[in-house]
Amino acid sequence: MISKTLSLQALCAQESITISPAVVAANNVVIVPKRIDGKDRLNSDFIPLIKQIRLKAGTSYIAKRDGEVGYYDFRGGEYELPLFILKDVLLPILLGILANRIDKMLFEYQESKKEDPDNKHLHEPEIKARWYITETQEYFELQGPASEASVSIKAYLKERSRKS
Amino acid sequence: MMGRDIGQIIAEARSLVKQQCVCDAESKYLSAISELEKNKDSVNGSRELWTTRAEYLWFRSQFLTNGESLEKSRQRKLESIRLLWKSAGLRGRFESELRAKAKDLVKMTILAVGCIIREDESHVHIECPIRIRSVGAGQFGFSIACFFEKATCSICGRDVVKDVECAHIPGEQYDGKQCHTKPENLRIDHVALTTNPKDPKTGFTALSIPKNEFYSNFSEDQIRRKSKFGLPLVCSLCMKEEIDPTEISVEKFFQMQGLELE
Repeated sequence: MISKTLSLQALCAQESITISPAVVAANNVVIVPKRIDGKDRLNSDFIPLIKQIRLKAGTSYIAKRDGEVGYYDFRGGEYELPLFILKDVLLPILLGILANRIDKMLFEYQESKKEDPDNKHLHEPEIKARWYITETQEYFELQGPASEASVSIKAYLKERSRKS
Repeated sequence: MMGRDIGQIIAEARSLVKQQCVCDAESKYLSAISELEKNKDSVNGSRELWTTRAEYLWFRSQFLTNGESLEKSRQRKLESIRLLWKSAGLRGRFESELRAKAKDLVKMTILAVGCIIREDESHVHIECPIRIRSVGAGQFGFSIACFFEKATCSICGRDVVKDVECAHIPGEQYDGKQCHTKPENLRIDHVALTTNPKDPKTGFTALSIPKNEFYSNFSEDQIRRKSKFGLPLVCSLCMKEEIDPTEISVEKFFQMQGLELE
């Protein structure tokens, strides 16, 4: 897991998107879709996760560069989540839901491996997740095999709760 | 001769096989079979006759094929596997043992004489997963990439993510109904061939290659001999590369060569 301090403006420049500070202030979570094929799109594999976050957050907003936000159903080798810009208080909720989802994917992978151990096409899922905490202006990026991602998230949550 | 005596003869035959005394072992097996043939009309007698014959054939194909032509040896081995399989089908108490022996013989046959590659007038047909993997195609599976504009909630009909009025989570139960999303305005963008496919169960299970193209992998001499003597095209990949062909089941072994098992 890598982290760096970044202003909201720099983050928006990095993502080639315009999000006003007022929108960020008014919403507990802002979801930034991935730009694919000239259109903003959300990963269909994470629809339930995004929905859970939106319901838990109370106020949320799906940012867009232009046009309507659509969905995509492909990976290119990894499962990529949208970027979450969120209030610090919501981070444990996001990471809890994410860890749960990753563990479920890992379980499904391990079950498939047990059922079909010779299948050369079975690979451990690769995860890419990014989030930005508005108060501290910290940007986090997590990328790697699901088992490692799950361990990193749990260790981070443990460390965070110990500090608080 | 009593049943116990026949059991004794078979035990001696097995012991001789272990000691590599194949000629003595063969005469013991033949003697046991000739005794068993006298009781072949009873259910148990018939079963014992079949299983002993199968064991004998298995023994023969392992030890008594020296000096035969490759094709004769192949035919004998195939016949032995068929008979073992048929004997196992009688569902006696040796069923699993006989099936295991047949599987073992399949492995031995692949490693000793290779597999016939099925051909028709214009193409060769490869259905062996080991061979398919070796030519590259078998390493790939399919990933279908698509876009859709709306993910409709099956409970309320709104867009499940974008519409804040929808309070349903896909996968959860609501009044006994499971919520799921229905993609709308779906467009398939591409189908990718990849070593890490989205659906790991997809992939190539058979390849049909034009004969001329496939024959270019063999020497001119091999092709000439094949046409002159009407020999089948044989894959010897497992023999050459020392690959363990355990994944090839008995049924698959016959099916991929275009041969009848029964």
